[in-house]
Amino acid sequence: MTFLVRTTHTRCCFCCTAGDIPAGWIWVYYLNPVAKALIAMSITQFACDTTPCPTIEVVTETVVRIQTKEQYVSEFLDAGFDWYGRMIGYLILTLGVVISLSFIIIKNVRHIKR
Amino acid sequence: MVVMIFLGVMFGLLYLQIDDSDLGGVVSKISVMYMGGAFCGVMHASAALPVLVRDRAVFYREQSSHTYASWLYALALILAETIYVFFFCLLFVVPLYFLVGLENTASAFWGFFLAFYLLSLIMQNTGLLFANLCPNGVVAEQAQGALISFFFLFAGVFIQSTLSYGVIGVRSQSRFVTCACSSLWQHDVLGTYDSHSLLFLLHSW
Repeated sequence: MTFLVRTTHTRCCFCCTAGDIPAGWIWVYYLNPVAKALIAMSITQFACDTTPCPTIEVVTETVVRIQTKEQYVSEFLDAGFDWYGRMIGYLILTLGVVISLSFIIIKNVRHIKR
Repeated sequence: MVVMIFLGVMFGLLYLQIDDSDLGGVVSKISVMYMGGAFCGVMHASAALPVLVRDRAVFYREQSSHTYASWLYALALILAETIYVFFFCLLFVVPLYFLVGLENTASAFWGFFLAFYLLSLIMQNTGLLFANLCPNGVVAEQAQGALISFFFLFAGVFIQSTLSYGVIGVRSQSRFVTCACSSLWQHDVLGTYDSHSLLFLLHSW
């Protein structure tokens, strides 16, 4: 059931891109390890190391413009293409924080009822 | 193990050999990375939870009899899961990566895999954290589900329905949520759009 609901809901074009997230919520995007992993994965796939860079036709509400794939993905995810190391560093830092919290909780939290 | 291979092959077939020479293809590739990360992360987080909650009683008993230090227990759990998650991610990513037709170079593959593996480890360790923080398994599951949904909602991506679905020829019109959103949205928006914007709508939906 969870599988079905998640599949249908994430494909319904209802979530927003980084640029569309309201200002009050953008901090979640910047702290979010999922976004960082996605940016790192996208960099490995769309980074342009050939000349000329491959282009695509981007249709927006007002114009149809030609953009390089790298440029488009960079705008889509609100990220630079030289950020791979930074994103991996952030993921390692997040992992470190989660593991440290786990250590603290395992040491200090008890749910024993006598 | 079978579930991970199955999911990897299933996603690979859904997005089989995507041609990213147009906008739909590029968005599809971003989508498959997002969906792959989401499913693998959720699988690791939710699979760990019941086992860890069950083992907690044994840990408390052994802890009260001073069998070992609590940090050793935590370290053992994390190390065991680190190796396990590595192999399970590999089983998921290998079929997915090559079926989808992502960049066929070693540096791109291992760069992709590193980010994917770290994300899965974060999700798995979030499961460990909630299993020990919450009073019981049900609460842990709810809290973890809320946090993960929050993360994925704000990952900065959406999936366009102008996709080619490879061997499984399902179009967006067959998905009830898409149809519902589309109907509601067109009713409000379509009347105010000009012909160019209609092209935009058709591209988006």
